[in-house]
Amino acid sequence: MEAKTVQVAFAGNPNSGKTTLFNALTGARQHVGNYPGVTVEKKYGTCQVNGRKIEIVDLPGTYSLTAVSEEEAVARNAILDGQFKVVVNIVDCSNLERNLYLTVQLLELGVPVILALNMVDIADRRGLAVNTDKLAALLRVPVIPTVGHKQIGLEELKRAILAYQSAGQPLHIDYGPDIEQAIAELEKVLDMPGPRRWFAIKILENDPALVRRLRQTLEADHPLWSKLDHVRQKLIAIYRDTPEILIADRRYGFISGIWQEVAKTGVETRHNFSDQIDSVLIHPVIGLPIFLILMYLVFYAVFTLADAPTRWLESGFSLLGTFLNGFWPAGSDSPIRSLLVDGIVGGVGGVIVFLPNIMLLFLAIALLEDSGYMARAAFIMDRFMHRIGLHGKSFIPMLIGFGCSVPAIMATRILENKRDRITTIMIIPLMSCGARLTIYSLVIPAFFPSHWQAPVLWMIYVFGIVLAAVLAKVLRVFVLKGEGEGLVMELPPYRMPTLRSALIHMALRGRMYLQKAGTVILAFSVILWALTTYPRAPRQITAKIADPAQRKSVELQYAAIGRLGRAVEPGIRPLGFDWRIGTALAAALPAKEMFVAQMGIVLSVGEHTDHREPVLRDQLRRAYSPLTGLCVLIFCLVSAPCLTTIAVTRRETNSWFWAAAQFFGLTALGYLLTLIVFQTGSRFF
Amino acid sequence: MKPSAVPVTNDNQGRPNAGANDVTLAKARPGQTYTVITIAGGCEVRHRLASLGVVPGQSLEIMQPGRFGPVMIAIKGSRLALGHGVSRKVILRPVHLPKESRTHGS
Repeated sequence: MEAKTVQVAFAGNPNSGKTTLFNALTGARQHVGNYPGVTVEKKYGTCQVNGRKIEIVDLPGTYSLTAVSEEEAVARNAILDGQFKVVVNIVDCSNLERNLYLTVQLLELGVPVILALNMVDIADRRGLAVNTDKLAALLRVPVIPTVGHKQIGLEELKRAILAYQSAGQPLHIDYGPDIEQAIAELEKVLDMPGPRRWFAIKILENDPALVRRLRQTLEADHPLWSKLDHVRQKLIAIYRDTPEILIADRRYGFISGIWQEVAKTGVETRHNFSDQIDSVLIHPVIGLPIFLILMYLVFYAVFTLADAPTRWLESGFSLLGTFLNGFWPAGSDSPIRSLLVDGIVGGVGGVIVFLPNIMLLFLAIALLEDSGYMARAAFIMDRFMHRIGLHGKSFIPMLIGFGCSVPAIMATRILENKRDRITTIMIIPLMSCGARLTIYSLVIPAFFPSHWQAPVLWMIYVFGIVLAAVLAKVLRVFVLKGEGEGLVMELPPYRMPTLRSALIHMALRGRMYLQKAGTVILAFSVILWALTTYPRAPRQITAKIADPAQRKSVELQYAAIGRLGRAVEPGIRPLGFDWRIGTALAAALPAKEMFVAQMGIVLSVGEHTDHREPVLRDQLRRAYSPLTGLCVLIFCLVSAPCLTTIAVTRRETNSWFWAAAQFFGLTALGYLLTLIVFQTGSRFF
Repeated sequence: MKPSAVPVTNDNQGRPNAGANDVTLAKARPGQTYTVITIAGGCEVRHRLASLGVVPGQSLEIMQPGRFGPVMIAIKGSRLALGHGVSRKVILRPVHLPKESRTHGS
């Protein structure tokens, strides 16, 4: 009996419309997980056909089956595992020749393949006709024409997946007598299971991931190594070029032959419109200003649009708190009431109110990415990034870092080089994330006159960026030495982004954020609440204090977090901070937005009045000087990335060293900078 | 096994006058068509470029020159961005298309 669920993989070049097709097939039935042992996100979803369930894994986009980056290794290993019934290879019909490079390698491996000839409409509009029957016959695979964003060909594709029987013989490309001889010689000394010819070709190609793995499993005097050295040298002597180039060249030759048989057109029109846009958008002189204006507009739009829903959420949580309070008599000190209202609703609610900001930012990022502009941003920034020892692609995760460091650090997986990747991960927390914006929007209006507020906010963002640039340079010069790999990136043609794809992306990120709020933040909220509430002050002391605000303050000094604040006070006094700010900084460790909630508690502001924020600002203004306010801004920007960030850094770098270095290094840097600012500032003011 | 040394000079072999007009991609002129001669870089860069279609013998056109910054090229029906460091490792030879031989007579 056949299993009810069919497992298939989606493989294809980046920008081949793979994800759009995946979204069209699976809709909202998507999940994000992680591949075991590595940090590449695993996206999977399901769809139904004839009562059978198809589970689709959207593999990371790759140009080739040669694994250089971690993403490529993941895609290849998933395919090599052979757990999929079929690998659906999505190819961009309007760029078929280049896209077939991956297809041919899949066929050489001998895995079951269905070719989804995507974006046939665009190809058609440009006068390019591909003979699908002939292509299917030449490659001996089913070929299904599709248009992902118009839902064309989806049913045919699903039916083809179910009907797929089994793969034929692996494709055998004739690499010419010399290379064929080298392959045969390598095959003889290879004693491993699996497609031996394919492994021989890959080893001959000097595939980085495969050679690294073989080095670990085979002993140094294995006959393979001497044989490999011998045949490579021989080929280099004959052709004066390395085998990987020769093999790539022959593969392209084979593809070119197929291309001439199946395609009807010679005119290349795919890029005409795109090139015209590029002559403006990536212009050496005006490209950068356009980019900066665009970024400004994106952020402006995000924060303006998020304003109203954020306020609805705020009043919603405030109502919920009042509602829950209603179950207890006024002034009750029931621990359960306190846990529910102050701990859970206060803590988790305080984080969920940023959901609109986060979701809109990810919507904007998805639109930038889908339209093709993100790659141009990387191109424009490359010159600058090169100066600080990184390359343009590092800029994309940094941009995402303005939303949240966690997905930003995960996005560094687009970087092929490990040194580039670690450097980028280390500086990402200096991008002011959405959570830090809450601190800024509390503190800045409290201490700065209204006409100074926008410039101060702008300056703190820029300060973070400049600091990130300096830190990257320092890391590249002193720690992560060595030349960077440099930018190698496709600039896809501009496309009208589909709202559907962008919305799906946004919903997925929103759900992940809520999951974080429901698990990590919930747990820390409860812990924080306990630390703020216990141990309780003796009744005979608190009973004497009539003023509720003062009583609260005394209670807090008894509680664990108050004691902690007092304990660290001597250490933070030189920064202009007192024990109350100390407790708020401690509270901000799990999540930065907790700082605001904790300041509210320590300054004894009633939690559920409608005018909470203005009242809190008044209290701040009375309690501290503007210089302290500025120091809070600087310290919160630079020091101690939140614990979730540290956990992701640990996972992504696979090293506690880098996670610890990020945490302690940035905290020390934040301390030093704040110390300088406060000590210098207090001389003058 | 170490990655084999890359023979940068393969273009100098047996072809008369070869290499005289060769330039690196970083110094190539916009609008001009070139043929890739060789990639004088490490194994990873060569793999990466090969998978994007940049192989010896392939012709390409410069869309945006990159004397100081990244360069944008048109190759095999797609547009690629190569950073300054990478583009200095790609050796090109200008191709004189019939279109350009027209200016020859003037």
